[in-house]
Amino acid sequence: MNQVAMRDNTAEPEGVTLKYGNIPLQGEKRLNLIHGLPGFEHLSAFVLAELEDYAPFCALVSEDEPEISMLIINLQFLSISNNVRVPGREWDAVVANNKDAREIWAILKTDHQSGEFLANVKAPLIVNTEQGIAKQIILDSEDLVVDYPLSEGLL
Amino acid sequence: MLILTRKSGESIRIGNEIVVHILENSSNQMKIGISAPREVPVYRNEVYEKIQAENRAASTGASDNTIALEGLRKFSERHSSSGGKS
Repeated sequence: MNQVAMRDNTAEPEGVTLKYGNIPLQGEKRLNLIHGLPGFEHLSAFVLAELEDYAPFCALVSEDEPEISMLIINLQFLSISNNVRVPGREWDAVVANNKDAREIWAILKTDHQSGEFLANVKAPLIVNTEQGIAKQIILDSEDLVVDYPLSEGLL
Repeated sequence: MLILTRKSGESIRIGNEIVVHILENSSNQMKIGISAPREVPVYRNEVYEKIQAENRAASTGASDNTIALEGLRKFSERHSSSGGKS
């Protein structure tokens, strides 16, 4: 069996008020990103939290380096979610046997000139919400891009 | 960097569990098969490097970007007014 480090994702992070910029975060859930995050391979302990008053946007914040934070959005809010097929082996990698505990998220970046939000649906974050295990995967489909405009597909 | 020369049909072993098989070799491309445990991710390197760059771009500056934060508010309001799920 794939031995994956389990973290207690029920306990609240201690002693740190997490924010995204000046926006307070709420409903924090701890995540263990197996294999780290591409570009930040040394970081595996993250918190997924809602941005207060900015639903449906959430933030992914590194527990070890809180300055490393990203906006994310659950793919259920994007019309392109129908085109995102996660291979079974990837769900196996995060031990997500329970289909009800599977979530798929996209990391967002902004076009600093236009302010347009762009979702990386080519490399989504898959999450096992029961055990707080996550992984950023890279999908083969050429229909999926790293800069999908939210303005085109937000439900 | 370890440099090896292999022919079609030959292979390279990395550690105890990863084997790279040379399947076909033509003048400008090579077909490679990789046997690795399921928990070991395997990527085309240029794709992986692109994702690295995207993640770094996503993690820098947006929290200070007032244009981005204003955009957040507009999207959030649109989501709320359309009765979107939360």
